[in-house]
Amino acid sequence: MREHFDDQLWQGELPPDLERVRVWAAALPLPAEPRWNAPRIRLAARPATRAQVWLPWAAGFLVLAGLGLIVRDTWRVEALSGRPALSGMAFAGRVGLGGAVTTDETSRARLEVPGRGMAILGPGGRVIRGRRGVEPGLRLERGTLETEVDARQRLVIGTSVGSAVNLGGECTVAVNDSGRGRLEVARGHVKLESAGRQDLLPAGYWAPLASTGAGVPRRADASASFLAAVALTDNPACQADDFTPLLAQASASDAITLWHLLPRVRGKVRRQVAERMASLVQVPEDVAIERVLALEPAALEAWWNALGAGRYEDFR
Amino acid sequence: MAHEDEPGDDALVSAAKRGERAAFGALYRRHARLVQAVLLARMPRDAVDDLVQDVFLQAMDGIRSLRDGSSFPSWIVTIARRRAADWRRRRRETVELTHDMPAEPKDESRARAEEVVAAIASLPEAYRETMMLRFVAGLDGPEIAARTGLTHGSVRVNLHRGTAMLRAKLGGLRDA
Repeated sequence: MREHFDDQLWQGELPPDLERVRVWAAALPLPAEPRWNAPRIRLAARPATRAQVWLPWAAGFLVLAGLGLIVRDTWRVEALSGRPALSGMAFAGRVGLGGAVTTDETSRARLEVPGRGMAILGPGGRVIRGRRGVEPGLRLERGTLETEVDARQRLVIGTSVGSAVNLGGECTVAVNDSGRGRLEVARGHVKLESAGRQDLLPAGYWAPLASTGAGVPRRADASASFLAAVALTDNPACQADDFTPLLAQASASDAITLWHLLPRVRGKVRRQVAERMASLVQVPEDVAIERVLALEPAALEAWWNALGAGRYEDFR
Repeated sequence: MAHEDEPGDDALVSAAKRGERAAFGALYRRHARLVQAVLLARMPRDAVDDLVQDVFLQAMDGIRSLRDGSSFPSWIVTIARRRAADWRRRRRETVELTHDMPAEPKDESRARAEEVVAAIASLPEAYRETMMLRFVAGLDGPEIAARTGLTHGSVRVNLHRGTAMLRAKLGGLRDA
């Protein structure tokens, strides 16, 4: 019965009661036929909705803001001589994160580090813009990089040996293709992180960089004989006797070099280094030498602060 | 729906493309009820008449874009649906006048027609268009399926449930 009714409906037939309803509905008047020949009043395009008005503006703003952020996050590169090459994330004389600057033997490039300072890449160099955590940085693959960082700012210079953190001042990092080179501080202070150690370099100090790690910092104007004695100890295979000339020739102004030797040597040699330091500078009386020999951080910090090269915390 | 001695939609559309306004008139008389039913399923009764005319005027403007004249009914249904959607969208963006207009006097047959249309318009949305096409435009099941794009099964279900609901709503009228 139901199927029959459905078939009826499908075929356009209706039972009498519904047929009557259909007839009633069919009496609904149709609107008059449009006047086809009448001049048409064309309505202006429907006013755009708020979303239609604002969306393109908002999208444009976002694109511009995005471009602004990208440009703002790029560093300007200026050729000081020759024609430095930019590659990777670099465009229109600017380098973004991951972008590289390469100089040939005749070119030098200056990188502006917004809000922090600048860096100059010497001839035959290659540097890549990177970062460590939130800190901006440059990875020096080869060549010489001079950096100048504003006070209370930081710039990380990475090398295959370790990372130098310019804590406000001027320093130069030079490395060759095999990773050997040196870090030299002209102004301010620099922290050098290498082989799990942290060396602190005030102005006027330098440290060699080698594949085995960084050597102890030494004064640039130290006596030639002292520098030669220190150089003996740069060799990881050096013997206890090799420290004898160094300790003999050290002066009070070389105490910073001795302080850096403490964690690099052991046993009897470490005691000799500590005692030599204590004989050259006024170390804190309330810090027992045994604590220094045990490399207690607080004891080492107290001795550093007695060296007159700035507070230990300035290097954090 | 054309009689044998009347030109088909194809011929009328070709004539309309040549600018023969009489052909538009013929297309209007043949398909206005279809457009009216589609619009009645989607918008208030008092807004339908103006829009039926608008739909045909828009069709006249765009008739050259219609390649296959025999598909005119489906094409104009699409225009009607789009215009109804535009109308609903625009209504949300404008402030409606609340001032009541005096009602137009109606004769008895028209009043009954309006009641039937109002009853169908009060059905669930799923059945509304099928029922308007059946009762207002007079289409049978296969024609409704062709115009709406619904499957035969869906049209059958809509007709079955829709008529049951309409019967319940019009119980008093049916026996009048």
